[in-house]
Amino acid sequence: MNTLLSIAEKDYTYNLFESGYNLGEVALFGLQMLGIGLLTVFSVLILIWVALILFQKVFAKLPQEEKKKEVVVLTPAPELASVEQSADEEIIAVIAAAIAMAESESNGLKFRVVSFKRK
Amino acid sequence: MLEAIKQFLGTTGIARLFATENWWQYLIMYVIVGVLFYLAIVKKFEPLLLLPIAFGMLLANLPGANLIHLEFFFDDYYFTQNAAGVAPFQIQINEFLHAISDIGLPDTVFALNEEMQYVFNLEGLNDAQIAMLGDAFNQAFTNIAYFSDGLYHVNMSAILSEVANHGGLIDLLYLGVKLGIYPSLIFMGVGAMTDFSPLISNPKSLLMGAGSQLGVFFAFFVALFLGFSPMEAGAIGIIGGADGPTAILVTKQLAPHLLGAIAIAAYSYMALIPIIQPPFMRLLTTKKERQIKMKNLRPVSKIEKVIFPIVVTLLVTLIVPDAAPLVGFLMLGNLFNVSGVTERLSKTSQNELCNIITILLGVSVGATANAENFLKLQTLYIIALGLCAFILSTCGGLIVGKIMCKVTGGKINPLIGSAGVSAVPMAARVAQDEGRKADPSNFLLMHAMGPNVAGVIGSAVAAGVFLSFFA
Repeated sequence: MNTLLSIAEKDYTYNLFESGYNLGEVALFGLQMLGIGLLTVFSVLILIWVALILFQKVFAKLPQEEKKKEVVVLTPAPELASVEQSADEEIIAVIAAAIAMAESESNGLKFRVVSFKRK
Repeated sequence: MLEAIKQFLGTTGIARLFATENWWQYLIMYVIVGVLFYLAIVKKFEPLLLLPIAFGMLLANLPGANLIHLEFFFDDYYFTQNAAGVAPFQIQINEFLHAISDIGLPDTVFALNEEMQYVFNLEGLNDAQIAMLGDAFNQAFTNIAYFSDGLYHVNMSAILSEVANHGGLIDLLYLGVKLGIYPSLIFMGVGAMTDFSPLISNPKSLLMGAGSQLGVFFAFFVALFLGFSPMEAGAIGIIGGADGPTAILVTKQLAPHLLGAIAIAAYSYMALIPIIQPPFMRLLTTKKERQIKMKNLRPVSKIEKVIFPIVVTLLVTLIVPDAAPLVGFLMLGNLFNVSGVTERLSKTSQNELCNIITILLGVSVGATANAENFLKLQTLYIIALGLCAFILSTCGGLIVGKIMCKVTGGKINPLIGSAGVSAVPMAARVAQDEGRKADPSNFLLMHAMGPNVAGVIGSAVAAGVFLSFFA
C-alpha cells in the first residue's frame, strides 16, 4: 500500500523539506493521503450503510409482528376480565403480605385494609 | 542551625524554580493552568476531562516534585549520556561500538551528537553494510532495543523496567496511555452510554459522519507544509475528528512528544463546540433549510440493536484492522448495553470504570504538558491547525447534509450534518439548538444523533488509516 505514496517510508519521521523533498512532492503526498483517507472512510461507512439497509429488510418487520401478537391476546373481552381479576387478587395478596410484615416489625401498631382503588 | 535552615530552603520548590534558567516558562504554565481551571470550573466546559488535565499540568510543572519523567518513554533517553558521561544503555553501546570496528565500519556510523546523544549516520553505506550494522546492533541490544529503518527502537520491556525502578507516580499512570489501554476503555464506556438506534433507523446519516472527516485529512495536508513530519501531521489532523480518546491513541503511537498539546487542543475544542460551530452552520445553510422538519424515525427492534455492534466490528476491522482497539471496544460497550443480559457490565462500563479511567487519563495526559515540551512555536501551530481541522470537519458534514437535502427533495435538514464531528452528544445538541432558533417547533436532536455516532465510527476509521500507514 505504501508504494502508492510519493514519500519513502523511512522519511515519515522527518520534516519532508529537510529530507530533500520539494513542494510538489510534498503536495502530492498530502493529496494522496487526503484522497486515500476520505475514500477509505466513505467506503467503510457506505458498507455499514448497506449492512443497515439489509437489517431493515430482514428485521424491521419483527416489531410489527410482536405488536400483532399483543393485540391478539388483548382482543377477547372475557379473557381480559379474568386477567384483570387474577391481577387484582395478586395485588391484594401482595399488599396484605406487606401489611402483615409491617405489623410484625412495628410493636403493637395495627393496620386494616379499608378499600382497594384501581388507578 | 542557620546552615540547616539554608539547606532546607535550598530544597524547596521555590528555590528550585528560580534556580532554573527558564523559570518564567513555569510561570506561563501556571497561567495556562489557571485558564483551564477557569474554563472547567466556572464555564463548565468539559469539566470531567479539563479539570484532571489541568491538574496534571500543574503537577508536571512543580519543580522538584519528580512525579513524571517523560523522557523514560522516548528512545533517545536510553542513548543519551548524562553529566557523568554515561547513558542508560552504556554497556550495550560500548559492546556495539566494538562490534562496529570488528566489521570494519568507521566509528562515525554510530557517534555522539552535540546533545550527547548516540545517533546513526548511514550516509555512504550500501544496503549490505546497513544490514550488517543492524545485525550487530540487534545482537548487542538483545531484548532491550532493535534496529529498523535506520533508527533504534527501545523495547517496551526496557521502558517498563526503567519506570518501575526510577519512575514517579504519574510515570506509572502514564503507562496506561503508552500501552493504549485508557482510550479503548473510555471508548467502551462511550459505547455503553450511546444509543445507536437513530443511526440504525436512518443509515443515510453515515454519509454525514464520513463527510465530517474532511478536516482530519486537510489538517494533515497543511501540517506537512508547516514542517511537521507525516507522523506528527497525522496526529495533529486527528484533532478534527473531535474525539479525545482517538486523538490520544493516535498521538501516543505517532508523535508522543506532542501528546500534551494535541490532547489539550482536542478537548478544548470539543468543549467549545457551542461557540465554534454555530457561525459556520448559519453561513452554510439558508433559514428555509434550517426550518426543515424531519420525519419521525422508525422504531428499531432489539435484534437489530444486538447485531449492529457485532457487524460493525467485523466490517470495520476487516477493512481497517488498526481501528480495532477503538471500534472493537466501542461496540463491546454497546453490546453490553443492548444485549439486556449484562446490565452489571454495562453499568460498570458507563460509570465506575469510565470515571476511574477518565481521572487516570486526564491526569497523565495533562502531566505530559510540562513547560519544556509545551511552550514551543509548534504548540501554537497545533492549536491553530486543530481549530482549522475542527471547522473544516463541521463544514464537511454540513456540505454532505446539503447535498443530501437536495437529493431527497428537502427531507433532510442539513444542520444535522454538523453533528458528524463525533463529540457525543454536544454536537447533536448544537444542531438541535440551531434548528429551534430557526423554528421553535423543530426537534432535530434524535435525527442529529445519527450523524453524531456515525462520526465516532468515522473518526476511528480515519485514525486507523493513519496508523496503518505510519505506525
